[in-house]
Amino acid sequence: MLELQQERFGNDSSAKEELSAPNEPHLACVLLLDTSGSMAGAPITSLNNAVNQFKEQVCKDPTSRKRIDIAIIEFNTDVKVVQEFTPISKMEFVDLTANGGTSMGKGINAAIDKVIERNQLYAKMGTPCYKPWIFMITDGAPTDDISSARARIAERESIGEVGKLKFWAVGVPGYDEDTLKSLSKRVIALKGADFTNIFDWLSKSMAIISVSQVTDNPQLGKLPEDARIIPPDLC
Amino acid sequence: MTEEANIFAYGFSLQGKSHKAENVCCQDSNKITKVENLYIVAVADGVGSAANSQRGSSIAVNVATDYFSKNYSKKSDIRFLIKQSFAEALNRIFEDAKNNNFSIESYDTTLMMAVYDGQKMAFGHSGDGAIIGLTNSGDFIEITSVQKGLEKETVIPLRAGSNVWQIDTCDKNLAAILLLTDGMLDIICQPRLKLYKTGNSVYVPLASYFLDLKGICKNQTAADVVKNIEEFVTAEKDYNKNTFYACLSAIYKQHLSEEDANQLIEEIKRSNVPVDSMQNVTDDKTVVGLINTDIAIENKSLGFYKDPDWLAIYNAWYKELYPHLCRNKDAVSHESSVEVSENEEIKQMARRDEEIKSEKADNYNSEGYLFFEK
Repeated sequence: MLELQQERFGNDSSAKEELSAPNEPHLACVLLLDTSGSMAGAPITSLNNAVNQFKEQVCKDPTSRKRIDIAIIEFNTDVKVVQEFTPISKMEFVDLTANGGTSMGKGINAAIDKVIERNQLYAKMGTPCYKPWIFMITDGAPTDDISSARARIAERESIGEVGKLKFWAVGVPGYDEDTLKSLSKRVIALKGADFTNIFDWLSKSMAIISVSQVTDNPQLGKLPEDARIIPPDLC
Repeated sequence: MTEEANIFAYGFSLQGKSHKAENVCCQDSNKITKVENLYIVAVADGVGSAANSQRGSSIAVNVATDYFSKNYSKKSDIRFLIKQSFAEALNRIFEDAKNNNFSIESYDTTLMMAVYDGQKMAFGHSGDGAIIGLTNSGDFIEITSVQKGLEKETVIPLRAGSNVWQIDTCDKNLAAILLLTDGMLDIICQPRLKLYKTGNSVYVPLASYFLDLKGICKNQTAADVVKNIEEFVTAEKDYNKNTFYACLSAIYKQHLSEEDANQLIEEIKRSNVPVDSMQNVTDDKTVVGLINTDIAIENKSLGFYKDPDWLAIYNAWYKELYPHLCRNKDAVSHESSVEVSENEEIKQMARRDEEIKSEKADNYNSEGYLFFEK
């Protein structure tokens, strides 16, 4: 019996590292992506490329690779879970298409439900967790009611001393600034529809979070040149 | 309570790696004291986000143990006195905060206190640390429950008040007790072990090292034993793991044949989970142990002392967290079951070994489960 177990363990240090994953703190991050008709063409192509590169970037950091779980939700006329929470290294290639309306309210509510459920599961399994992130990208105004989504973001972000959610709203030209500002303290405006740099910033932010303590609120890196925070100094 | 027992006592509060990197002092405190035949120990963990938490934890352990010692008599209601000691500690923290114009929140700390006579224990508990015990029959038991806030992300501090404090006695005869702050608790009591075995989440090799020290005490001076434990808890990068395994071997040889003990130690050494886990803790570390060296602890079966099947545990955890990546839901069902008989376990391991051999050299199979090959 002992010999069998020894053989299976071997001396593979990276594999041993994987075995410690249940005890590693995890960060649940939902990419909440607007795939309405207005994103068709170059924007959706850039978004697909950036999301796929994001996986590669994050996986370069060994700590992030062990600790980050990504889910992808898209919203257009409907809301669809493109990918359930998955270790970043197992994230599947995305090929989103754009059409329909902008059900932003429903999308946000689905993402909030997802991160709450996820952190409850981490707690049940004894896996420590960071405050979850929702990273929304949109280029338009909602075509549904966002009042309940707005209230839920405010509620989750104000629980306890440090909140239970970090919601980011990234606006691509064409976005409704007033809507995004009403949803979040963290609105990022992009100059164009090239998502490469903002996803690069997101991957670096994940790396910073993943080496912090779960109760910390670490300072994130500087936004890329083609992005600005609205209003400033709040990220 | 019994006549005075021979108690081996040790305690450390050591600065964690994250605090070292940020040049922040250790926010944990501990104190061990004695009144008549009773050992009084207190452990407090200053809450990381609170600016004066080190001061809070220091006041908590000093006031609680002093108050108990000064007010104890043979007629005392021990539980009531522990509750009063907690209340006094909180009052003094309030006073200190007020006198220095700080908020009470900035002093946030947990507090645990145990009163032990070598067999029986009464305790007070507030926060996310824990007290575990070694019974005379050789079982490790989790005596307290972690107190955490909403969604288990925040700790409930001492200032939550007496309605939250757990003040109680343990009804079992205890040969040793161990008080731990959360940084240490997470490796000695690992929730993932509940995926594999019933009962509790105590990781036996580590718990044995801290609680079942009699085997080491026979061969080393008390000062050397304490020095060894401190070096292990500090767990610097260049820590010599053979020191730990030599101690664990001496402990296991109290309960097992030399051959069995050696085999188990080799197995544990190969996974090296005890040393790796200790080295990976970034939080401050506090551990306080009281061991009654007069007690002859009963031996358990071989399976009790062995390293758990980390691979099976990982797979059970993975299946819970990522069910969509595990198409064959029965692939690990036998591994996440309750403790099985040793014969059955051998058969299961052989079956799993066959499964592993049929997979590619890659660590993952098509289901996303993790495998290892030599």
